[in-house]
Amino acid sequence: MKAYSAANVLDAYVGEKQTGFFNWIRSVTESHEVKLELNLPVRFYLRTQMFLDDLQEYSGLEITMDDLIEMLADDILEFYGKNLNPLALKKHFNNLSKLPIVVSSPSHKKQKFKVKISRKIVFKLEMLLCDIAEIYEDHDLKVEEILRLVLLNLLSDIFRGNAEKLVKNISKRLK
Amino acid sequence: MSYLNTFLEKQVKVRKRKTRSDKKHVVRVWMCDEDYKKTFVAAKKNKQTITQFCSDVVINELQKDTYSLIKYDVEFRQVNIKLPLESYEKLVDLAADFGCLSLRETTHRILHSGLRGAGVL
Repeated sequence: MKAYSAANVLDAYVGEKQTGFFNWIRSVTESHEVKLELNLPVRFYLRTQMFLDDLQEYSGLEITMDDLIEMLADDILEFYGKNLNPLALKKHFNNLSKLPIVVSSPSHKKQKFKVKISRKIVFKLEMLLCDIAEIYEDHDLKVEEILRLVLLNLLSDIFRGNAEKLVKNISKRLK
Repeated sequence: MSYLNTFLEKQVKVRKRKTRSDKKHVVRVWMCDEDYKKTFVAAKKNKQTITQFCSDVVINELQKDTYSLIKYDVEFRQVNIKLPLESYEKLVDLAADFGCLSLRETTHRILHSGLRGAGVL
């Protein structure tokens, strides 16, 4: 089966070794979180960190990059859970890849960073990409790419002056 | 519930509606009680509402060149004048000619001039 993220969480469940003993060992030993490596242009990475620092300082919200990315991923899964239309999300991801901030990003110097996300969320995102592959077999979307796109979209919203609504949403979810 | 990812929100498409080609422009004109009663009687004898009657008077009067000067004041009653686009544009030009009076004052002068000419006032 094709790997939809570097962690390839789905393969552990779909792969050959499915004995009860193996499942028990896995449930005891594997961590509830998965590390994924993302990359953003340096300036945008620093701007995201600044956004999180401002949130902590002025709104009193305790939030890290890992929390933010998990919230954004959870948001997509909530939409998918309610709408059950993987092709609608594929269309959204295609539109995101055409944003000016995304189109211009390959030309900038990159900052690689690791994020810890819940294994369950990565599993669900991989499942979503599998669902998309049922119709679009050759799609090259990966979990890391989706997370990168949603982060850049968030920055695009901040640059367009919609940060206030974002902060309200984030604080609602953290409470 | 609103999503954190704004691209997941439903995009509200605002369709601009076309305006009717025969859309009327309404101007409200002050009229004293006495004049209103006389105009009302004339309109009813003509089997028209007061709005229709006064609008026709103003449209016909806009064909002329000279209008009598009438004292303009806020009165007790209001009459609606519904004008098609061409008449409205003539009214705007006249308001500029009269020294940039308000459209209401210009229409007031034209209406009263027309009503006097028609023998109503």
